Amino acid sequence: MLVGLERRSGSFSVVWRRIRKNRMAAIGAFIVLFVVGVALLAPWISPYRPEATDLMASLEGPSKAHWFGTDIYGRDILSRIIWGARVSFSISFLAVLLSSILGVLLGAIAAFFGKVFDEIIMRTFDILLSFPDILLAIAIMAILGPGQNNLVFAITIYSLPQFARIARGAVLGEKNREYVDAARLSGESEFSILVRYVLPNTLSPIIVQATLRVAYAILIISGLGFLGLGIQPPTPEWGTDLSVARNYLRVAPHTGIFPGIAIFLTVMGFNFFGDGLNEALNPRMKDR
Amino acid sequence: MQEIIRLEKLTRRFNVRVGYLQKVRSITAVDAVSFSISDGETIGLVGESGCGKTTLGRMLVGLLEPSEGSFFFQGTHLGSVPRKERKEYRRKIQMVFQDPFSSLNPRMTVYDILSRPLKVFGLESTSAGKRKRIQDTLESVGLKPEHMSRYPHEFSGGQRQRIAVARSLIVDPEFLVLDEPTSALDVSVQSQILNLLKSLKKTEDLTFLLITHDLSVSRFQADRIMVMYMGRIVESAPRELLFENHRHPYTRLLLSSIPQIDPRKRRDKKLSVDEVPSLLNPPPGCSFAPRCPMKREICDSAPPPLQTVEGSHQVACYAVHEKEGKGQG
Amino acid sequence: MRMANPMLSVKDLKVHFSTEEGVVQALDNVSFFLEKGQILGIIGETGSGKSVTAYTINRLLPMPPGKIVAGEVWYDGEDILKRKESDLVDIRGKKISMIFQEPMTALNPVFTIKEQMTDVLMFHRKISREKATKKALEVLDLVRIPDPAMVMGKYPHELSGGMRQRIMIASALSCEAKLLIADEPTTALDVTTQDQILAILLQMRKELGISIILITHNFGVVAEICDTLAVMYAGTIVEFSSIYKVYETPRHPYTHGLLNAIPPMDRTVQKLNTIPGLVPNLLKPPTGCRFHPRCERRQPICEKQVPAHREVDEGHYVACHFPLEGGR
Repeated sequence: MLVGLERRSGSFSVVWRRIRKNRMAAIGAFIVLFVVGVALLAPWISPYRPEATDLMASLEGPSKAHWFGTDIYGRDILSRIIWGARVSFSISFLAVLLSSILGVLLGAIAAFFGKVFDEIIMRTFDILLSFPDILLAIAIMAILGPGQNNLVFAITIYSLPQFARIARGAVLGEKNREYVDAARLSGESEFSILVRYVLPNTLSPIIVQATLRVAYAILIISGLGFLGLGIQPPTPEWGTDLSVARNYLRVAPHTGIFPGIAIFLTVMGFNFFGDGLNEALNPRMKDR
Repeated sequence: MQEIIRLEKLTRRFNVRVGYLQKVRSITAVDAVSFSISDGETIGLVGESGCGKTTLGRMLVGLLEPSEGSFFFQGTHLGSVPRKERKEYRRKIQMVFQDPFSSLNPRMTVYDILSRPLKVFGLESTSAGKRKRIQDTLESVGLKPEHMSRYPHEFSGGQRQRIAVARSLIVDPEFLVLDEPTSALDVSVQSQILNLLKSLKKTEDLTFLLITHDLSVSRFQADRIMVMYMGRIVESAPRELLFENHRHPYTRLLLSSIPQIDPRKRRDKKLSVDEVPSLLNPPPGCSFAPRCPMKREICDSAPPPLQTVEGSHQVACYAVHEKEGKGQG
Repeated sequence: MRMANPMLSVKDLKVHFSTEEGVVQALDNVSFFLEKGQILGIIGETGSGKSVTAYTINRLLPMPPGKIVAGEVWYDGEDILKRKESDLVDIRGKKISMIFQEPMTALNPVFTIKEQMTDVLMFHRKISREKATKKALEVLDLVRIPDPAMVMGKYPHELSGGMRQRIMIASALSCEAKLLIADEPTTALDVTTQDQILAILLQMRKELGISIILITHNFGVVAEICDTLAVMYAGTIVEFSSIYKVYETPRHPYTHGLLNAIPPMDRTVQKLNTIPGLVPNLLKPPTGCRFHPRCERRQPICEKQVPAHREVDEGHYVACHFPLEGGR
């Protein structure tokens, strides 16, 4: 290296400063915070109950009473989008949390203990990965039937291999570093070395992946909803609502536009944020 | 002096895959090495990269299992001690690694790095006792108590190596393997660490095996020096004797290749290309024979044994043995 | 600094790097010269700026984050730093060539030695592939590679470290540049191989009359082949003179301290000299003399005023307010 600038990533303030400097990441972070805030505050900020129908006010355009207009049953679209955020996030966060914990653990075990572990775990994931993304989710939902829990299960299975592969790569990179051998000489057991020493050093790519995976998960939820395999009406969900709106797009385009924008902005926000996080955590990537 | 370490024909082989899809072949990184170390002694194990010195060190601390041969620590054959009881022996044998940037976990504070071994080995039960011991150890390596709460990246290379030394000392070991402890450091820092190791050896009553490619470091630190070449010890002698009266042709080549810190002592250089044979295809007899100016017919027959030429000076070379009249001994 | 007609002269070079944490004042007040056919050693510890100096001379300094704030690099009758980015091809490789510490990173693993060497020649010298092949064989022979035709058909990973470094030297020489910058060329090699590479460098100087700048942290290597030596500390050159003067009568306290910190090979000592303190952070270098916080001879003036290069003895330049009298 030319000047003695060792990598010094990690500390929260450094990462936060880098994100603020990166315009795309800052926009992403803002959108993510905003949408998550909306989802959390849904009961207090939504003007109507999302299931409240008013057949007299069916398919009304945006107005003072209904900022985003109403759908075919006269339900307030803004309220449905606000509550829809709640549904999308609770499912995607839970699924990403489950798949990251399980995937990272399996990938880390495969890499750290190698040999048979590696073969069995990674070959199984290779089989999962050989299905086209959405097809796997569709297949699982078709077998299990629609419902929130099944949706969480489907997305978890579908995200597992990604986390396992990233964790495996990161652990492979760390496990031959001298501090691992030093820990052995300090009497640490192999499992303790993996959990206490190696895994904390592999977190940054995993956090980035988790952020990006939330975006994918939201897309999958909407996609399945659109196909009628996901959340069932009348529960508010962006993809399901979009699917209903499809029938009235000519007469009432706003019924589809607003859920569409919600999906688009949220997914874009998470992607921007995830990419920014990646650059902030691995600042050297950009130079190469 | 009492013997603390004894190796008997310690051997380590590795399987390597030659090229892609080619068959697996075995190389012998350490080939039937035998020697012993007395309590309080510092042995310098010198050699060039790939000679097996690091593999040997890793076997002694238990990071690698020997393929063959035995290793005795204070008279106990470690291979026959049940795994569970080995822990106590392992505590007494510690290691300082080469690269202080990679040997400290970046996510642990100095306190964590030093307190884990205490906890795992059950050395201090109270947290006050732990703190006190960490403080004392830090001070003994020239660091301050307030360094305890910091992370490795806040330290310079030399300070990191001090932390690594502290980690190996805190469990109260008796034998320390130093694997190139200063080769990643700058000259001015190297001298600090070398002085520190030398004084710690006295105050803490330690025995060292110093693995290094730098003969000047071993001259400063070691009582006895062993020269390793392609997995075998080719010469072993007390420090002064090795520098003043070395006998093995490889030792001579090694010593003459090292530039002196004095422009008036420049030597004539030869332009020949001299390649070390591959471990995949070792010479049948003496592994130095293909490069040796003193080569004779017998050298291709079998590896020469390490024989005493006088006092505690041992050489593995047929030409030297012949001259000493100890021929095929 | 005065000099009749040096082949390369570097004057008051100042280089900054902008980083997230601020501006790193990587080089300050770097001046030295090199006569034709000489081997100049630039020695320094990690972060002393020795590589930055080399990269600046060769215009290989990445800009940004690097920035040449001031200074001149006179070579072949012109100030290289004034050259436009677009015609630097003319300098790199053709006029000044460079070899690096780890030849593996400079060689492309997917091409044979022949392909890589001839490509460089065809690009720089605009000659046909046959001619380039012939030239490549010639230079490989020059660096004493046995059976060059066979070696040319090999891939970099099939060769040993010493062999790869020989090939880098051959490749650097093939364009007939008159100045070779060698950045830690033997650091990754074993001593017996290092010896051979140093021998090659000496031989090339003798046969081709090239000048060499050798960047290293190893005092032994410098003592072995250099004619003059520049000692760097924290981005400045603290001492510059003939190799004999620097080794036998070091005048700067840093040089003196370093020379005595190396464990000697020819005698046994009980304790090594140390230099107290740490290398400064160049984001905020010490005021005045950059070495003053670690110097045992410091006086109040050392904190305030940057010491200029003074000729304390014929051809012996030192940047110190209170130079030593000489002697190790």
